[in-house]
Amino acid sequence: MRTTKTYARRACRALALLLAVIAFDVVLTLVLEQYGTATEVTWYNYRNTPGESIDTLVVGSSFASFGVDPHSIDEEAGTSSFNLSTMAQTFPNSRDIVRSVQKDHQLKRIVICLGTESLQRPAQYDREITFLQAKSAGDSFDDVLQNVATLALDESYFPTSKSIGWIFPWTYTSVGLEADEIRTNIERRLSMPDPTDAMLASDSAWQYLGQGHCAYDKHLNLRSPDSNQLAIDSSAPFLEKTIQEFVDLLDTCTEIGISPMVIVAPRPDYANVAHQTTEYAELMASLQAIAVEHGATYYDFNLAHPDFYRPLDSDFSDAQHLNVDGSKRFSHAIGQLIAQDEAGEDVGALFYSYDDWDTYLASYPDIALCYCEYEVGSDSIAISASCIAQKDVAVEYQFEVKHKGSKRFEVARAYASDSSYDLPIEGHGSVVIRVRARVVGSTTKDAMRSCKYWTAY
Amino acid sequence: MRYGLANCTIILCPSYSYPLKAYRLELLSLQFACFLTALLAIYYAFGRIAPRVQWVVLLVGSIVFYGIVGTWPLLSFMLVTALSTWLGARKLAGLSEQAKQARKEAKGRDEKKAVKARYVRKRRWVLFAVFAVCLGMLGYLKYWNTILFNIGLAESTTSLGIVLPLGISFYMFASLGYVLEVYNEKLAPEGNFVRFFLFISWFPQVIQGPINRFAEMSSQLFASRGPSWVGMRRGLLRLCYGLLKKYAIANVLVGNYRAIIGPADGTTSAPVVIIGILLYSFQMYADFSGGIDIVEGVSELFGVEMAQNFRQPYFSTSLANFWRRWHMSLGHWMKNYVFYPLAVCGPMRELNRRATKLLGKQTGRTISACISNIIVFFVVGLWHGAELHFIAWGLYNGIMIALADLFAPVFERIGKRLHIQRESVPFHAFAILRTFAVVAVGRYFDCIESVAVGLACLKATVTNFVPLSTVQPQLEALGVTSPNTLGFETVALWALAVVFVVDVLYERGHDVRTELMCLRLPVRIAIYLACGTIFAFSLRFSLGQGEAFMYANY
Repeated sequence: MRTTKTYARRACRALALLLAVIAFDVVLTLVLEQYGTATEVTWYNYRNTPGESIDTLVVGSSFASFGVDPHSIDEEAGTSSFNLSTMAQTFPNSRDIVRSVQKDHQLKRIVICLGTESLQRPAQYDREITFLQAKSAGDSFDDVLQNVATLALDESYFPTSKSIGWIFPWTYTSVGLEADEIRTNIERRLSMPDPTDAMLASDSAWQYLGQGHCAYDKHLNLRSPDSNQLAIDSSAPFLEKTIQEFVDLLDTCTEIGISPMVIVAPRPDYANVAHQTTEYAELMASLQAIAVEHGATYYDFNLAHPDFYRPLDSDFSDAQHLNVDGSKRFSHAIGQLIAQDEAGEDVGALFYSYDDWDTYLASYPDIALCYCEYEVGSDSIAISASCIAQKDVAVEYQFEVKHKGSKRFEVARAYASDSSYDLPIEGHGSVVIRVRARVVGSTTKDAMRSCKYWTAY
Repeated sequence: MRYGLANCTIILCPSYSYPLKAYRLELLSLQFACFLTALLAIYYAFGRIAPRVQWVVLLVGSIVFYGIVGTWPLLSFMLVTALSTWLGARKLAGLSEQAKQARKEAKGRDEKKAVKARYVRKRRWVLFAVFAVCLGMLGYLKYWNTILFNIGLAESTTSLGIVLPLGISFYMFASLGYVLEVYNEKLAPEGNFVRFFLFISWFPQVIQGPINRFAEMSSQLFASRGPSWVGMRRGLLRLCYGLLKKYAIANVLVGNYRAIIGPADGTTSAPVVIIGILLYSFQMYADFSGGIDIVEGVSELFGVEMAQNFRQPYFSTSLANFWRRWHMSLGHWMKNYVFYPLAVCGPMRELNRRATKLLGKQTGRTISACISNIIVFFVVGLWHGAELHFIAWGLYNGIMIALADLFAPVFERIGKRLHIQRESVPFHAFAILRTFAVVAVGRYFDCIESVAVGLACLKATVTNFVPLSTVQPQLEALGVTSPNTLGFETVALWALAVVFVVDVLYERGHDVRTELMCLRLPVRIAIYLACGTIFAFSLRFSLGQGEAFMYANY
């Protein structure tokens, strides 16, 4: 009897401790977890469009989330589409979405939009947690348990501390520990029932464009590209695990009777010129073969004929993602593709083939990008120009200046192969520097690129 | 075509540059939690069903653990070690019995002496054979690649692709300690190899020690028992405390310490080098002692208390005292099996005699201890790795202890002249700080891969003074994530405060765990929640960095 009492008391104490920990964790989650993430916004808006039928579902990571505008697709193809792509969405995440949406809607098309990085990089754990949180908000208890178990038992997380990270979501998506940040987060949680408003309030350049689609209203800065913008390693190998997950996603789509459309999101011209390696072609050709083998149609929009679709430099918000305008142009092209495909037209002719690599490369300008770095010294400005050009193209540079008060650029140094130049200066003032790069000896506009910089000295 | 991308070179601390691919389990993971829960349930169930073979569950669990961490094929090294030491110990005991019998039967003093000498030689050969097998294996696995690299016959210290079996240094030293105890006739050999194999393979100790003694472990490992509520709570508390140290301090500080120490050289400013060394000192303590707390806690859940490995080392008042508090099980091993045999061996006694004649009684007697200390610490350095900086670090410690011993009378006299109260609180505090500084100087050779760079950094510490206002920008430039707090993230500072309070309490003789368990429930819950919050906040720093234990591949 006494033993039973002791056990009961101990059990009560342990339970009290457990409840206190859970309550504390819940409070911290409400207070510290970022309210209004892009992923949360997408899921919230999906759940709040009841009754509207969805026949075309877009899944994928940020390439798709920022790049695919369902409204533009619908305009072209007469579809009723929704973009349920989220940041760093993994293929297993996409598979969950397909299964989940299929239950509530009569899906006819599934668009899987990806970039090479989707297959080269391992899953990002913090984004997985965000996805889990956002998806679970509307799921049944059983589904939530299943979601958690899937994440915790994932073979890459199970032997690590990440397998318990979901217990503390606020440590991964925290607003920070400054009092102002915490107060703002609580205020938004209490006053903004729609997380879209919270996201809009926290990021002024971000826009929600409806039907799950969001994008940044800003432009890629190519005048001063940093290493992140230039270092797109397209030829890095695909991860075996990710390829298998991709195949599982394709198989899930075909199992429910839909032939998925795999779309490779476009990159800026300079990225395609800079990474014009045959490794990229071979890598993507292997992906295409896998996709086709598993019942998908495959379109790499980097290989689109220029008269069908070619993005402008101004279509990008950064080196990988399209901005608001860019996503509309891209999505109109997707819509046309769907419409023509369903009309029985030969859409394959709209794209170059990986086998026809040289013809594809020839469709790009010889020089894709010109930019420079400069350093103001006491008596000169040291300018160092660079460009991204096609292989075996010889480039020459011309340095021009426009002094304050002047309306015209003057040639400071005429075309020569040396990419650096020291511009002499005296006293203080300001100057606009223009660097022109061209194919040696060429005078045509297509063979030329330039960039401009203002600086004080 | 170049795009102006900077070449980035990441220099890892040697302690982290070991091939860790063989070890792929974190103790804070669902996998380990499942393994531990299942093993505990089966173990205590067997305690009721079949108490006599309850220990077999521990053996099976230990072997399964080795498999889970991905080192199943490397179990063969453990098996060879166990087999050779078990057989060697039995042979030694057999020879010992035979020697006794033969001496009984021998007639006359001379014959008895001859018999003794014959058996001593035989026993030494057996001991030598066991050591040759074990140390030969350890030498090949741990040092061969580095030796080849140092003489220019290997591309790098890991180019041969030799994977170091998990915990090899720890179970090897534990096994050799067992053989030496039997050799010294302080221990009867274990007759059952399977039982002996449990002592070697006991899973909490193979991760990073401690180096246990068979005499202390056998009765605990082979006893049958039911779950003890108090024991389990104590074990759980220790486990959680270890997790706090590991995740909230070690894993949080490791990035910043690497950012500073990695590129450090003779041009680095004094304050920045000092900050790097301080970060390393706390990071290493938290990593190693935290890891030990975790495995000790895990072991206590099964009712098995392993050897103590840390006793508030940063409250030491001398370097010798520090080494009696830091990695204590290795210290005991070195003291019992290297220091004492060396200090009392024939040549050393002869040296003592001559030194006493030449230098007087006090110094003469100290000489053998000094030389033995230097040799011991040379071995300790070598135990850490064959790289020169580890050996320099070991020698530094040995020489400093030897010098302290030699000059102890001088310091005593100076103290008396200056009327210093050695028992006073200020002097005690001064001694703690002085010892910390002496230990910190040794860290230069421990965490910096090259002896030359370590010396250059040491020189920079006393010559490269810069205005304090420039320290923060320098830290920023190095990529230190929290330059405002000199690289110490807030969450780590909170955790350090907890560890400091706990260490102070232990130092003052409190049994913190027992006292904590006696507190009222709301107070306890508040303490647990506060520590739990610090811990949970620290998890965001633990993504993909410094997750392996520093000593896991020794």
